[in-house]
Amino acid sequence: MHSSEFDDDDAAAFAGGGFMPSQATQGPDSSFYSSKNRDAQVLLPLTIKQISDAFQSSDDKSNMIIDGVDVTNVTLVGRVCNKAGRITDVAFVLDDGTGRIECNKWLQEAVDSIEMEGISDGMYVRLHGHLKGFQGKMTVNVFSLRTRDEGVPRELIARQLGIPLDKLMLAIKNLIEEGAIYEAIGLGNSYRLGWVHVRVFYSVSQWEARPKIGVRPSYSD
Amino acid sequence: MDTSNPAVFVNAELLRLYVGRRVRAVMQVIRSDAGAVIGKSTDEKQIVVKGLPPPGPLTNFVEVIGIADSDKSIHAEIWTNFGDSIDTFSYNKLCQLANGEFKPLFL
Repeated sequence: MHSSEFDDDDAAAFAGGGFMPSQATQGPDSSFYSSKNRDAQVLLPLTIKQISDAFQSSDDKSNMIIDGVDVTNVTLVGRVCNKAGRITDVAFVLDDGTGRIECNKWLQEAVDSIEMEGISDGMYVRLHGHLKGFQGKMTVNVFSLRTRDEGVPRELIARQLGIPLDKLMLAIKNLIEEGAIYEAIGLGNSYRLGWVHVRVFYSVSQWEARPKIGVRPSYSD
Repeated sequence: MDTSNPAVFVNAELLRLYVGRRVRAVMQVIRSDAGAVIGKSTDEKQIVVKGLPPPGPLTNFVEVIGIADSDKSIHAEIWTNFGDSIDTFSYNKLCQLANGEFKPLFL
């Protein structure tokens, strides 16, 4: 039974699609769910043991199936080991207690370097990435990873950008006042800016001028 | 990929099944004695953890990874602070499921 707070005047609120309370008696018809969505790539939480077993029992290593689902994007939780930073990418091994798998994170933007600089051996991370088979072994091409302490230490951002910490904090304060980012929650010396992961790109013209830090929001789950 | 050296999720009850093997356990730190930390497992029993803790204070809950050297003790190689509170019920359930119904996903 639908709540009576949705009367006919509010029907326009649903005009863009979604559930129509007045059609409560109709079941969802099959065209409501586009068949394209069913075949969309899924994100699979896996253990490394699961990946290893599937790899060994799979004839077609580039199209593995686990539990009836094509394995493309995966999410893993584990400890970072043997981190090796190179110019274009960072390689490490993820150990989740069931096994170890090699991971690779390409450094395409400044924010990638900042993110990876905050990661060190022994840290627990959750990562999202794509499984790739190459020369008989699997690696994870990492899209994103985060630690339990979300966010990046502000000193690290300031150092990477080459600007003084107080100028960085002033810029962040300005962005908060402009409504571009949400209120910061201080966690010791690292900041988690609301539910927006700060993607920092910058141009610093002069020390006197406010450093312009743009924010491109991405959604953390 | 290398699955040759897993660390089994254990609580106190499961620890005895894996003596001599590599295990991981989350416990609440009760006190530190000479050379050992006494902890309470997620199934409310006492575990002794030997080995050298890392420098710095231990939080209330700690995960240790190491070799089970008896049915009541672990020789820890790796210690990780897990903070002041965790959901011990869920972790305990995880230990049971990872060694029972879903063991093939882990070992």
